[in-house]
Amino acid sequence: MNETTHIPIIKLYDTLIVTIQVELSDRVVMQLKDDIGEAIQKLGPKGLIIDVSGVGIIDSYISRAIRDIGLISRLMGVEAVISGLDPNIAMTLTEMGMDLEGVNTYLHLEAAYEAINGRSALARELDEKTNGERDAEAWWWR
Amino acid sequence: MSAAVSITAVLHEYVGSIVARSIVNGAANTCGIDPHKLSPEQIPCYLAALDNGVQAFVAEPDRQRECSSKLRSMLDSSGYRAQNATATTTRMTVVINEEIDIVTARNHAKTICGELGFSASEQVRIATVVSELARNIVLYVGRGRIELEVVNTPRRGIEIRSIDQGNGIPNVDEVLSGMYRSKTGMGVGLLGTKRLMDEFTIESSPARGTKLVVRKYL
Repeated sequence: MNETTHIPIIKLYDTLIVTIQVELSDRVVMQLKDDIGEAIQKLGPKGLIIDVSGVGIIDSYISRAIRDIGLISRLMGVEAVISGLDPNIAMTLTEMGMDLEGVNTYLHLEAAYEAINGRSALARELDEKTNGERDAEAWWWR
Repeated sequence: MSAAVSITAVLHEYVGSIVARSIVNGAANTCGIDPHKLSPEQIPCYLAALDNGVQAFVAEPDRQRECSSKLRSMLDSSGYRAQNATATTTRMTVVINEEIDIVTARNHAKTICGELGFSASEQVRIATVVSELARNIVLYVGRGRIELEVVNTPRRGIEIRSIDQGNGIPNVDEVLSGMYRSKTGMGVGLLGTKRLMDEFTIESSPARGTKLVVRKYL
């Protein structure tokens, strides 16, 4: 009971992903702060995503802790975002007068990943296609 | 054989005899009852308090669950709550000593609210409030208790009481006016609790500690 749970930190290319699937206790949060600081220093990622879609309850302490983690990694030069906030939790936080100011939030993990890594490969492909068509059009008019 | 003796025997399968006896007596103190003369309405509170003891002293989660369910079925089968075996929980006390108790308290709250028929979003609100109150106890006092009770007047709903014997909150009015923010975020927590609930009363003094009573109606 006294051993601390480590929340896994996953590296996906240049992005660190932390997906929280357990009940957050103070000790777990504290451990996570340490682990993330260490992982950022060791791996030098471009961004950090904290996915909270598995979290059932976020009270003022936990919301502050999550925000702190975001701000810590930002101070270390790594963009941090939060994804997957449950609608009921979002409602509760708003009504309590709290927010996660200073850390961007995204609907889900994909959106957060794209935000950090610029536009997706698909978007780039579509872009190239459009540019190609424009070239063809220009040729026609010439 | 009195309930206390059989409970001690079950606990003894999982912990030492001294620990078993102290769990039995500690739980009885928490609920303010005599474990040798249990009445049916005292069982839910007593079971909750015993669970807390089991969680504190039995190391492995599997064995915790096994022990808890043995205690449940024993108190059930001995006929103590035969007449209201299917009735939902109406009263529960969770002792708050460390942060893991916060999780226990809010999970119990969520279960009771589910049984009462609160919507999913209301359940999250209420569980958040319980979490908030329990956390204040852990952060600022160290020990206390959360009582959850189903109320029927003036309307059906849940009452949550947070009770501790700490030094009280010195600047309650300031905290509740939203002018004060502690480093740990307590101002937000108490004020947020007030905003989320239908009723909110607080008594706090250095001599008698803090008693917070909040209610949310269906």
